[in-house]
Amino acid sequence: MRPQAFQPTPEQQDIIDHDGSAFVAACPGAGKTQVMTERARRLFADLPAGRGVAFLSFTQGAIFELETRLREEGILPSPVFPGFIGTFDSFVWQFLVAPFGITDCDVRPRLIADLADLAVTSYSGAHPLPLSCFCPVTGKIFEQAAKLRGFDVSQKPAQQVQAYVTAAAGIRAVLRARGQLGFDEARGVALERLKDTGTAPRIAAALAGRFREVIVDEAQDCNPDDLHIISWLRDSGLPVKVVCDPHQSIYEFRGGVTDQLIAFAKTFDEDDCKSLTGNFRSAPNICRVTAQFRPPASRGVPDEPLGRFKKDATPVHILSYPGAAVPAEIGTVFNEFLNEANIDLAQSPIIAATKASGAAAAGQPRPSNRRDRAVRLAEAVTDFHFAAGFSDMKAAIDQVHQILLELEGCLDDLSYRQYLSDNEIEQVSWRPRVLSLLRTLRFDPSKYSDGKAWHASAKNVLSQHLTLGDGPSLSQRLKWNDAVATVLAAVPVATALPRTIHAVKGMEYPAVCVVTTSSTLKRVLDFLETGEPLAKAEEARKLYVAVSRAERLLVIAAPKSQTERLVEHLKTQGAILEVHKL
Amino acid sequence: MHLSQLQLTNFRSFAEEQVTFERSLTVLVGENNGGKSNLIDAIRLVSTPLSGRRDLYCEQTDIRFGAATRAFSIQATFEDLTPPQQGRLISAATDDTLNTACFGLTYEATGKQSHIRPNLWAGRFKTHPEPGAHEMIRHVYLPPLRDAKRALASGNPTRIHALLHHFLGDRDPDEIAGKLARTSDDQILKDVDLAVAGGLDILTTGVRRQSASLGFNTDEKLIDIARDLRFKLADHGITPEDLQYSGHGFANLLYIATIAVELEKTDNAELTVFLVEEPEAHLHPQLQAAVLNFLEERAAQSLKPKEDQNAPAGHLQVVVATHSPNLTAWVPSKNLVFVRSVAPVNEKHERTAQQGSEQSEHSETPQAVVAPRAQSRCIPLSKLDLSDPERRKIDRYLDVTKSALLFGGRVLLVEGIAEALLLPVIAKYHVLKDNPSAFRTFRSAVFVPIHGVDFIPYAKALLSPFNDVRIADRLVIITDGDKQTVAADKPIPGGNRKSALEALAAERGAGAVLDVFTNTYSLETEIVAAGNAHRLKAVYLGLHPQSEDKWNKAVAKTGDDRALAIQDLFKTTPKGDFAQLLAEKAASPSFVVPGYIRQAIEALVK
Repeated sequence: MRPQAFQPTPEQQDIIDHDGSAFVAACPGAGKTQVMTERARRLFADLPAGRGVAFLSFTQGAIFELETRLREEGILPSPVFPGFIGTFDSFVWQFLVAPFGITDCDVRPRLIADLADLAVTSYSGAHPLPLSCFCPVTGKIFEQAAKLRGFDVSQKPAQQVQAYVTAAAGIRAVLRARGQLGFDEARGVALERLKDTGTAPRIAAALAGRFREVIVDEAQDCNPDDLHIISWLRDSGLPVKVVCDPHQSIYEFRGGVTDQLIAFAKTFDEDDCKSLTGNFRSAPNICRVTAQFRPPASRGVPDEPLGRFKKDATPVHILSYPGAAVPAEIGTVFNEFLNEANIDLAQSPIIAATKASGAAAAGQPRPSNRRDRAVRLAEAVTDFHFAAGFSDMKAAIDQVHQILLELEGCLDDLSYRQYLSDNEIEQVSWRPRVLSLLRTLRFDPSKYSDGKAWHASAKNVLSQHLTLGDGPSLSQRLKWNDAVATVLAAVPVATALPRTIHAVKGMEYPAVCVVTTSSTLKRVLDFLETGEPLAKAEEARKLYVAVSRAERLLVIAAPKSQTERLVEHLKTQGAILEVHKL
Repeated sequence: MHLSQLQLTNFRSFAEEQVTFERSLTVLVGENNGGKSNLIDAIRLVSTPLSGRRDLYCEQTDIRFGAATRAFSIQATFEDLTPPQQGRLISAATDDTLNTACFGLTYEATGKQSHIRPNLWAGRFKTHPEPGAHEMIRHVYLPPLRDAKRALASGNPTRIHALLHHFLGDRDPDEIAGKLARTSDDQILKDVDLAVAGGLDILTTGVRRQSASLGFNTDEKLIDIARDLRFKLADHGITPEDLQYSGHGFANLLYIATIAVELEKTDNAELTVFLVEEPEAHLHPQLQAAVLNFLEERAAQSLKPKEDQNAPAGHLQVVVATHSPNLTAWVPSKNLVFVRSVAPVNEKHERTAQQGSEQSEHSETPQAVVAPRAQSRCIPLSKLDLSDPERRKIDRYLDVTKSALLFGGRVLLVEGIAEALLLPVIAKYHVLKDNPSAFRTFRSAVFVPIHGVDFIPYAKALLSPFNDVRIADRLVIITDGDKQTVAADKPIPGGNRKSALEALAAERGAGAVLDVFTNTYSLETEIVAAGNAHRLKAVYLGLHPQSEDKWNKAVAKTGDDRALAIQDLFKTTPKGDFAQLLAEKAASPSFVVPGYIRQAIEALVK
């Protein structure tokens, strides 16, 4: 990545050399990945036979990046065994759940990734809530999550709420008896295991014998249960390195919480608390702007630019757009900036909190909220052909496969992953078919006059692929919906690709365009100025993650109504800004 | 950690069987076609070769012929895992203690696809093992050594190439090939020589000093060099000769030494199972023990705790398949696993018989009864109900006599050498004279003179069932009545022994397997009593020419007195010499066979 040889700062060197457990707080661009890579190099250089290092993170994407990096550097052996690299969830599954199974249950435990989405209803035809709205431990309903799904607990009679809770508990009991666990349930089983004073010390000893060190990256994404497991590992005698940036915690929806993390840091010895400061990534103005997205209580001064752009004087551009909707002009102007600065389009994403805003800014068809099958199919086809990376492509392929199974009536009682697991269906058995289908269904304006023509053709193609039983016809199962036309798109024009904030975590780009919306920016600025409302802290952290991805060029698109306030706020620590009106 | 158990389902000659293994050395014994090689192959299939080059794969023909489902499975259980091993093999753990791990192989030919992949699974839930975990358990296979000489001399380069490869380390093979092409004193050659010679020294200490050296042609590529590599073998200090001129035994030893070098690289595995098939083939008998000793020492060495507690244990476990009494006699009986083929006589057979009778009620034509297919069964001698003193007694006996006692089938236990020498002659010329097939059966039986009268430990070992199978098919014991040794009102000692043995058999459900025959006094007295006095007299006088008077007086007595007197006569007679001379006489058509001997011979072949 960096052409010149890595010259660690004393701070970095200290962490690279540190044996034993440590809590490392790193700010964006502080060379976290580089430091971890060097630490890994040091560990592997004299790794005794039979011992390994476990690298854990919280998203597949982060693991993919880290693994690619370690492989490029030739550090990671192949196979990784006895080491481990994977998500925290997979670690928990492999070492705490799979070998032991579920208490009082003899069947093989199976991880079903989409179990959280299973629909819970109090009676047939009632408003469905996903299983994730119910606590896997207590069974209680998560009121906030339910409200987001259109079920306001405070407005419902207690009896009805209880009916949902009972239904959810019933579903979980059936799943448990079949050994089927979602990520949340699996973590619950793991925690049960750690409470078992007979087994837990044995597992601890076994893991301590196998792993020389456990490195947990992106630990700001831990939830309290994860932290519990991490402290158990540490207290079991495994050297655990916890690496995080508390300001970048953006997974509140899965329970990631900053306060617990800071409390957890205090359980480490003072000598074992390390920090990585200085910014090797961004130009000075970007560093100054980034600092302004931290909460007021812990804002501090901007990180010192230390990287190759430390002398770069490029201002941060603010695009002020009128109205409430995100205009496609944002993408066009961003492209012009890129051309001027001679930066490759492909390496410069348009980042937004939601996929919809990003797509709008890039002038791409917007994803629809409609969950009709035809819309989802059209969306998957578009996503596949506009994919920003392999993971997007894979998601689109899986989506089409799921739709095919739905059409064939296979998923009436089962979730997609449940069905795959129950029938031991392997990817190789269906992927080629789905891929060719995706290619056939590509929306080519020279082939299809409009969305309706595409829909008709899709039905025709699918009827040859599917075995439909009795019941509704294919036309009934794949009804036309007007939204289909809006999500279909032809070959993309040369434009920066939209990415969500969650998708760019841990990445860095020469240039980024961050899209803010009128619905959130006002309240986020309130929070950044006053520390209230606390509910917007996560939105602020997301923007912090988004802007800190930029190396040289940062463009922030803001609704006109908030532009002035935003500029005032960002200028506070001396950032040079340039405002452009659209 | 060690392989403690193997469970086989529908694998070749095994229908359903569990085999247990001892920590460092297990010797599989038994007749040919008993299933020993199938056990060895099962371990080869369920673990990874140390070299990584697999040369045995699952095949459709591995499925037991006639099995109800077209599938077989092999499951290997490993016990006593240390915590680091528990960490590395956690995906194979069989319970919450993590002390035990298991790996299994299931091969199903039920599908339509032509290429069937065996499914490797692990742990109690039979899930896919973590990649890399299964490779922590390895094996080295030593095939039957008949072809050792050819394998080395015929230009098969793989083994030797592999050997060279160990010493190459990180060096570039081409560079070394170049060097070797010009000079033959490269360090590698010295290393190889040294290691092979080292192995040989350990192996042959006390037998014969050996040395080996390697020679190269001037070829360019390493593989070519390896192909033309020849091991030359000679006595210490003599110019090495070509392999052709050395004896088979030493060639085989060299072969083992070569693999011993490979064994030194077992440290990166948790466990390496060293599988030796028929080490006795072409191996000098006294070397067989040396080889086994060598292997056992290596296994013991490997159990020593290593400096790094967390490193792979590098344990070595030896499994030998043999039908050499020399080898089995050399190891304690608890290390033996008896492997035999049995016809499943239980429910299946009965059902066939029942069906047959039902059928005959309905139809005139007799149904062809399908003979139940024989299956291999195993009896680990360590699991038999024997006390430690009994076990030691058997071990001591086997160690000295190298007897085939534990090879099972039909076994005849007698008190002394005289009976053992005499019975075949009597069977051949008298009892089974007109029944050649019965005589062949008789010849296949094992004759065991126990040099005493305490038959109990041997009978226990041969008759005790393990999972309904026992070592002996027929056990016939001949013991003297020895009435003359006790007061007249006391029960005959031989009778006591007979009832004790019969009780023991009944207790073990082996009443039908055991027959005990006893006489009133002793062999000599009974031969006289049967009407062979003049023949025995001739034999006696042959050994004691001056004692005709003594003989006549003794034989003239009756009952207990005569028995005591005859016993007195033979007190000073060498038993072996006596039996040899008597055997000459017993071939005569006029020899009268004592009743109990006739019965014993008939019982043995029934």
